[in-house]
Amino acid sequence: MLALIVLGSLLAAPASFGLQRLFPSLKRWVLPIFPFVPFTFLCFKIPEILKGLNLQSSYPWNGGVLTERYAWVPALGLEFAFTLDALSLLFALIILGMALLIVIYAPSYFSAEVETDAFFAFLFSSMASMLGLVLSSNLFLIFIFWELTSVSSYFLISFKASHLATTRSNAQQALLITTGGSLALLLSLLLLVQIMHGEDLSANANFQNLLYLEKKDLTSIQNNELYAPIVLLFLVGCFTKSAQFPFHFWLPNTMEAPIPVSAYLHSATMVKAGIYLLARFSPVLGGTPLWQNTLIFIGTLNLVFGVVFAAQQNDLKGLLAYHTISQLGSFVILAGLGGPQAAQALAVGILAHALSKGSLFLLVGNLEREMESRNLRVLSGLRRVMPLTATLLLVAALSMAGLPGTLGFIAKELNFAGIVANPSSFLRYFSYGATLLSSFLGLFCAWRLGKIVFGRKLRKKRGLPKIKEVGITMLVGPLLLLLLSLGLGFWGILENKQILVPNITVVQNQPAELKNQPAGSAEKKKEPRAEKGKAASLQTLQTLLSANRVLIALGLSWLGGGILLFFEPQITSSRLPIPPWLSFNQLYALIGANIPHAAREFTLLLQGGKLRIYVALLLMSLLGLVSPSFYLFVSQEMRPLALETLLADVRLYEYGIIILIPIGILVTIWAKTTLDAIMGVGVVGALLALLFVLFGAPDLALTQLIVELLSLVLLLFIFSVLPPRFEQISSHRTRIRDGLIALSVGALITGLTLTVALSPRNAEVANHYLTQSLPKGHGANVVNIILTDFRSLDTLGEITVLFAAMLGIYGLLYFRQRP
Amino acid sequence: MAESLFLQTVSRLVFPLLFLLSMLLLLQGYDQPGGGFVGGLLGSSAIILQILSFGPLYARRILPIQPHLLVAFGLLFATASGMWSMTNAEAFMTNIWFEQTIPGIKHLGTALLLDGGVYITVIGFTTSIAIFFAEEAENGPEESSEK
Repeated sequence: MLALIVLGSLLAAPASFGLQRLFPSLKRWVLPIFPFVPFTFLCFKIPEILKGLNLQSSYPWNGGVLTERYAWVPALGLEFAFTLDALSLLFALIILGMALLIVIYAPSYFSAEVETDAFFAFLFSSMASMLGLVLSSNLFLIFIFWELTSVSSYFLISFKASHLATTRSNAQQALLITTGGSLALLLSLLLLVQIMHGEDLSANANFQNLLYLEKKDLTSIQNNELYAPIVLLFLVGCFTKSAQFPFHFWLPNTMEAPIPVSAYLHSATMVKAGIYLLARFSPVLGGTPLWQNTLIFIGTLNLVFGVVFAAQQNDLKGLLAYHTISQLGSFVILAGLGGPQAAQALAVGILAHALSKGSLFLLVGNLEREMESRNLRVLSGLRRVMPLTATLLLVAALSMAGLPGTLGFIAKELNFAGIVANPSSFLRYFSYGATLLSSFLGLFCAWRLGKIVFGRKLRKKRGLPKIKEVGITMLVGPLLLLLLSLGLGFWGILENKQILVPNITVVQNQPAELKNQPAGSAEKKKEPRAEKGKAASLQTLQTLLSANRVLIALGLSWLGGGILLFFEPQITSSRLPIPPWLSFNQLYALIGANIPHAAREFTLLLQGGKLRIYVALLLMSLLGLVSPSFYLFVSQEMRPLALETLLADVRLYEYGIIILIPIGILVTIWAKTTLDAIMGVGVVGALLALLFVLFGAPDLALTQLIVELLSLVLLLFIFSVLPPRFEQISSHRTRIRDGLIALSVGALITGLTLTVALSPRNAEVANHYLTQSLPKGHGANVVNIILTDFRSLDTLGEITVLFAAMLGIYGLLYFRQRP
Repeated sequence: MAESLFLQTVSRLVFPLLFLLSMLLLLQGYDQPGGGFVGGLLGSSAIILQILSFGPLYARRILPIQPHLLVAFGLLFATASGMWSMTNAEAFMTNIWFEQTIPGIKHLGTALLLDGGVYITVIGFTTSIAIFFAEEAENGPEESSEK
């Protein structure tokens, strides 16, 4: 069923394209079906997955697990393995739910003249690749879907009718950075697989088991010397995808993309992919000082600077984009801290972020459409013109700031709880302080958003249509998201009958054995809404010590944020003193401008368009690659060459041929006219054929003769176009150089041939073919039996080469630029 | 290319013979010297003889299919012959042998089809290159960028 979901969503992209072409009027009704069906299916799976979820366990995603496996290439460890556990379920529901809401929203957002066919196809392909990522459990399958998210996001970001050039270059930037990161990820996964083979974790030959490794296997991985490179490469992959500090700059640059794209990217796909992988692998790779320190350091940087930049943005989308970076930073910190509390905080945080960011982006889309501005300095008086949007925006801002009653509040609370639960005091206080600082500024950002609602009414220039409230389809998405946020938020508080006490949390389907615990007031309870009940992967926190700390932290964050509000003008107008050389955009532009240049130079060097250069380069690479190992082999392993034994059974007429061949070659080299050269080559070829006959290879002789004949004809065709006499066009020095290259290659090949002839042969292989060809291949011509039967795949490969060569020749002759 | 009545007459006569010989090489290759590759080369030399004596335009006219398409077709044919065994849930390119023997060829199997694919590919490849070059030669020397 999981495979079916992934396959179905993969097919949704082309299917949606076709459906829109066939029934253009019905697309509003048909398109939501694609995300809706799997979404409902997964909703029904919620109880099954959450059953038996033990939130105190060290492995946080230990509830029910659905697994499906289909063979792919077993020898390479590839299989279509899909797993649905609590973490995948959370992500899958967010991905499908957001896709559903955006499909409802987007047709009204785009004006009628925009061709949206492609948009929905891209949206669905993005959905499918992200869904495949979170559901697959084979490492290589994960990587494939990981790459697909980058590619599909490229198409999504670059989708826009206007500003094509900038959007496309920004999309390209995102693509280059994320796929560059995924190269690092691939390397890390390969190393991981290598360790697993090396440690002989035979149970884990299928990589699905990696995620459920035993304790001793984990330590054997973490003690391996390759562990550090694995972690660092893995983190590069995740950080590029999740727009973390050194690679953060692509995310704000994608602002030009249409609102539905931004909403989807920020809330469900792409940037969440990195967080997903961090959360998924933290039980495997995490827990070590390297993992914790790197993640917490980078996460803190992003948490703080992201929100500082966000507070200073005047573009609404810019504010939201930088705030997303900051939020992602906090998730990175939580993934670094590890442990059950941090995992819960991560899960709720991701849900809360999806709900608030998703709704905020959609609401900004409403503003952009009606007020035609995203500038925070311009927008005001929203409550008078667009009352519904204004109300929703206010609630969304509150959720983003984490006010009580919203899921954002619970997320923030769990975030602090996860931090104070960490045993290491240094890490605890470091991330504690950073989170506190970021929540000051988060509140400030929410305040700036809220200000749009109030203030005097915005007037448009004359002649433009009056600002009016948007239609229901553009409101239903944010409305549902915010209702869910509020519902879960209030319910979380009511469930514990205590307000502002840290063990407020959302608990659902509490395991029976935990029900009797004294302080836990959680009861088995049905979820409030069928939709997105995944926040239920939570558990009450009962340590009073941490409770007090969390309480203090929350109080402090309100206080600090409140104080900051008094300094609003100073904060928004000041700029951080960042030197221009630190601007990553410029660095990227510098690299981006020089790489094509360098590539061009390098290509021209290697592929100058002259045949003799190509040949010389090929031969020189052959020399460089083969001759060192050949020399080593000869100097160490070979017996001294006994020429007498070689020459003993050479017959007289064979000497004749051996002497004639060099003469033919010399004639070719010294020929003054093309005809002479062709004759020389022909003589050499014919003599070779004669040699084959003498040594009992009639097949080869026949082939050699015909090839010789045909190449003679082809050469005649070519030379009939060229002048009849050779001209000397290269200098003396180049001729000597080319001669040296040719001589040394000839010496190398001769040496190799002699070595093969003198080496002891493995008669087993030859005997196998000789004895088996008649009974198994039904033929006496052993060479041909090998070609067409025993090694027929090689033959197929060879004629494929012929095909490729033909295409090349065809292209060269027919698509060249004629002068 | 000068037209020679002698060459034209001979090549007309030799063409079917060469082609039959090439088929023979293909069919007997399993047991005796020959095979798809040599057969294909010989078959294409029969066509190239026509190019030499009548010119590339004539060769293109008498060929029922463009030779470069023949390459793709041969590759497809060889691949398809390997897929036959997959219908019996065996590995790609496993040979299937038929019970009846045919005089002259003896056993018949999918290997012969693969060899046929090689034969077609080689004929297409060699002939199309020869025709390309002959057309170049016919159109006269163009400005050669190679210097």
